Amino acid sequence: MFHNTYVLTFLAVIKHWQIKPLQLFLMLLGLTTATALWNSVHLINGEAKKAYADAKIISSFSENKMLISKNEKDFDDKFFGELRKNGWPITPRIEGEIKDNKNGVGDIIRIIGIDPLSASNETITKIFQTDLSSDNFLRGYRVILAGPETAKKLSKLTKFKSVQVSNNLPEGYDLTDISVAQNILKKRKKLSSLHIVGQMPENLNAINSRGLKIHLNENNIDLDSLTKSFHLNLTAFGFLSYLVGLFIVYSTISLAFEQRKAILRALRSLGISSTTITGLMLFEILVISFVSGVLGVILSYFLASALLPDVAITLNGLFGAKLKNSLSMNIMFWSSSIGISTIGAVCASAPALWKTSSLNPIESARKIAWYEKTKTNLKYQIVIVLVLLGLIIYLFKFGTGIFNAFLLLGAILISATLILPIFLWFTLSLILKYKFKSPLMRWFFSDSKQQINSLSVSLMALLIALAINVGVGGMVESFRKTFNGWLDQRLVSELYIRTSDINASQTLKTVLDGEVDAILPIVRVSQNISGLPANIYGFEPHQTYEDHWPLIKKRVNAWKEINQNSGLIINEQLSRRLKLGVSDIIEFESRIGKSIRLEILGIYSDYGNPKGQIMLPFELFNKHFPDEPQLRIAIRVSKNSVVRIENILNKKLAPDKIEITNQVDIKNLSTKIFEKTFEITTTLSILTLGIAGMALFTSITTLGENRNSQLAPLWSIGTERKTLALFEILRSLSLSTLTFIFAVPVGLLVVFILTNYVNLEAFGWKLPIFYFPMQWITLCVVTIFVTLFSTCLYSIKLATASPAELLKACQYDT
Amino acid sequence: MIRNLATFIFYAITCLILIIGSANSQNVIKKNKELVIFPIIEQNLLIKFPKDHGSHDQYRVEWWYLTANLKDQNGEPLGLQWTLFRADLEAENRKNGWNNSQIWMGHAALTNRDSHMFHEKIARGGVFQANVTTEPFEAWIDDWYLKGIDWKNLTVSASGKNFKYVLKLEAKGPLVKHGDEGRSIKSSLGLASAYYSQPFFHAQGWIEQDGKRQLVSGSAWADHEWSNQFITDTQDGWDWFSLNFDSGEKLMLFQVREKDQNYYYAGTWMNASGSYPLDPSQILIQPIEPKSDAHYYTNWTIKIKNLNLDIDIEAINPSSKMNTIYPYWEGPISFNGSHSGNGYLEMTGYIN
Repeated sequence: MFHNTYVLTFLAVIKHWQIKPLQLFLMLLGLTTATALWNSVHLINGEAKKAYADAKIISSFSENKMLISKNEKDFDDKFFGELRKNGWPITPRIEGEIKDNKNGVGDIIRIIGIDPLSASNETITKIFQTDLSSDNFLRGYRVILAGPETAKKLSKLTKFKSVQVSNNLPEGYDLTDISVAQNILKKRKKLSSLHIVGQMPENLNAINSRGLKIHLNENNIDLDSLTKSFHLNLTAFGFLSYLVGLFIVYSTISLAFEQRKAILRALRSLGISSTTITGLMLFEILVISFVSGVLGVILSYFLASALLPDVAITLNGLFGAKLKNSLSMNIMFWSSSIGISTIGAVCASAPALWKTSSLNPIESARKIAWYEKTKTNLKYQIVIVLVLLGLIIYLFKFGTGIFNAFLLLGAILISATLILPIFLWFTLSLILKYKFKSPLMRWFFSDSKQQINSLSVSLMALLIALAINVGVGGMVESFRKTFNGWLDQRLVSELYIRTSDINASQTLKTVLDGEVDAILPIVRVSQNISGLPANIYGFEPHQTYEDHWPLIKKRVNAWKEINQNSGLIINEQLSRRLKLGVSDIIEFESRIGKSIRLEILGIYSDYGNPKGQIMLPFELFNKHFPDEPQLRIAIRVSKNSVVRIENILNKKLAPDKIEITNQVDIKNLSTKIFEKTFEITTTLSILTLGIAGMALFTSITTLGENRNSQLAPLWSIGTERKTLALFEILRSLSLSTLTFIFAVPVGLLVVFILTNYVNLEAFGWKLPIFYFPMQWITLCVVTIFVTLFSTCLYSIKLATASPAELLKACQYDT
Repeated sequence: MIRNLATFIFYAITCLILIIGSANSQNVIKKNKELVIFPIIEQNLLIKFPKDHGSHDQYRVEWWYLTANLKDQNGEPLGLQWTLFRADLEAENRKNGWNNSQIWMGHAALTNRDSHMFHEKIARGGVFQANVTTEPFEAWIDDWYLKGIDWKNLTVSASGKNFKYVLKLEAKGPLVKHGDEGRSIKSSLGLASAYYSQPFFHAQGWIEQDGKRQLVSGSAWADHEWSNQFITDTQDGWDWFSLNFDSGEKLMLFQVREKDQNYYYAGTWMNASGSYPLDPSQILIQPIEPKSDAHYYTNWTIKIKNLNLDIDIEAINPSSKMNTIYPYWEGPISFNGSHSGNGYLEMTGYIN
């Protein structure tokens, strides 16, 4: 009997969803999409974080500086003994990949061969964290260490049976003695690099004569912190979409509450306590959120799978981070996903639940005085907006760092959403000051004004989505425009050539002498400057650079001074991170670790480069980094001769000696990477707009359920149903159009924050802002369509409503 | 400095098999069938030069050892050590490149009254990071070397964190084979090594300590020894002396400490015209209490009855412990009594 009461009460409560299945569907959809978006972003971030952690473990086995062959290929292992004898503190390394073809999967296993005897103590500590005795590592058994899965694959794949599972190694890698690695990789007597474990000798002849060069281990870059901003960016978008999704839940639940008031009051009159009713309604929410959570996980998997390739391309292209194109979901992910869905649903339904618990059974069933309520709400909103404005001003003045940049963005968006109803209120009040000839018109605007409150949540969602779309769209387009122009400047040479060795470079120069306008060799060394990874380029000062190199700040006679070898130019990233400007002195190390101090003559923009960069005129470069071979060469030639020159080079130089890249190909590749980067944000912002559209649809549809009682009097005094339906459409349209008008300046503010704060922190460079009115018009049209679509169902229903229905509504109107 | 455990285990295992020997080396041989195929030093040992200056890869352990008693520019005594050890991890004797089963270890030290600087290097065989060639002679590990056309004229060089040295060595006497034609017995059970010395080097060159360079000169003593095993599991370690008498004569002397206190003694008396092994029953080697630190005796009394030798030995610097992965004590000494002179002392197998 006791149980029966609960069951019956619960059945009475959920009966509502049977009557209004659309409401239930919309709520499930909203919650599912919100959860899915939030989860997919986390799934991607999690996958990336795992990849960074793996990369970090692997790179921790490497030293910061190493010797590699000048042509960056494997080299003779006899150099190791010879160089040690010359006093070079080096440890050898062989690296390579084998393919897991036998299992038909084709996974790549990366083999790393080390010499534990010459490796540094730090490296040895990291490698032998396991129970493995290092003696076994080197003795006849020559153990291979690998992660559990890789160990299984490896045992099947190679004849080496002494594979030992190590939980310290990431999957896909295996670590072993250099002799074993050479065997597995079939690279007998070869080495990939010689890592420097101590103080280098000053005399570099020994390495030069063996065709080796010093190289900075670029894998030691802290990918985690480098990509932090990128992931924060994704998280922010995911959260935004989640929030917009919750608007749907909020508006549906609130409406369902209003509509269920009668039955709830009846239940209370029957003696069922408000606690029981609230508890059962909470249970109902939990069931819904559980279902949404499960659906959200499934949806998020597909969404993340779709986004991951783009993210992988971006992270590889921008930061050199390698991500696998597969996602892994575990029990933690499932539970956190359902948790997120539940927390969201409970938060969004908290106001309705609160009202249920304090529902008075004998309270008169009067309708809410919308107008008064709206006015009171607006007062509260003004107070919150004022507080937020204070925060915004503070952040503008004193905020630094990516977190504050996002906080600023958040504060601006929240303020904007709170200002929106105030804006609509005052706009409509202003319109109402006009003396309308038609009382119907007057009624229309007055009615719209009083509807602000009930529609405000979905309009706010729409505002956020529109502002984000205007903002992100503006940023992406600004970037595209700037980047393309910048690429034209930077990649001015028609051909970019890489040779295998110095002889090939020499042949190339001889062959092209007199055939082309200019031969511009470029050399590069890597180094950490004040802890920041940077590349130092040596270049031949030439009119080409003077005419095209995109200097954003410079000394008056910068190029003249460069020609006189009086200083250097650096990229914007380095300038911002080291807080160095034109005429400041930059300090870095020569090849043998001696301090170099040179004056900065100019700063150039360098979009898409996560690293710092220095451009040194050749003469200075050679002084500090002598004998660096010129293996990269840019060629200036008239556009018509490009093919002819390519043919000459291909004829005179063997394919393994030369690699020719066309300017157009490089431009396409660079553009592709950035397209992918922004494709992710664009996709997320469009999805946000989609959810906002759904929120609007939900609000309008559910509001329509109550509208008959307000519209019936108008019908009774002679207004046609079609006219009323048209008015309803116009009302929604005018409110969403006003929202759009308000969203444009907010969106521009978003662009401003994104380019001046977020991007600056995330990538280290600042973009010029351009305006794209065509984009806004497109968005406006999309908004109109979304609104029309949202209203049409309800309007058709109204236009075709039977007189009996409207009469009934009149009858109950109080 | 606390070294990480893994490195320590690794080095320790390597060193267990190395020269210093250990209490359980006999067990290793018995238990591990692989190891028994290392040959032993036969009675009919025939040492030939220059071939035998080189590496004897068929034997498990080998070393080239140089110690020098020098005087600095102020006439202060100074000791110098340069050692290259070779050990094979496996009896299979793998030689193929990185697959090589040999481990090489180098020790260098510079000792005066106030300081004892040392450095250690380790390398694998087969990749020429360390090796020994005979014609011309060159023993090296990284950029440390002991080399020359033959053993008459050698150059030695090594460097550590705060020191560096280069010495030219000129032999003023013949090479000396210890024991029976170089077969030097180490225990009453007949365990032996092949062992010869060049104790008559005149040394001249420079040293650098904490960036300050100065010229030095004096005498130097080179040893070359190889075997499958140096001590048995009933033995703890040894105390080894190389003594340069003011008369120009030389004495090599050691005791291998048996666990049952029944020590094994051996020695060789040398001068420019010849040499002969000592009668073990005539040798008395006694430490003088107290120990210089918790582990090592740095004052000794040596008596050789039939030579009327009775001397007291004192370390130039009692803190000459080689705090390498497998620690031992090695440093210059001076002695007085019936005879006077200088030399080197090595103590191994003490509890550290």
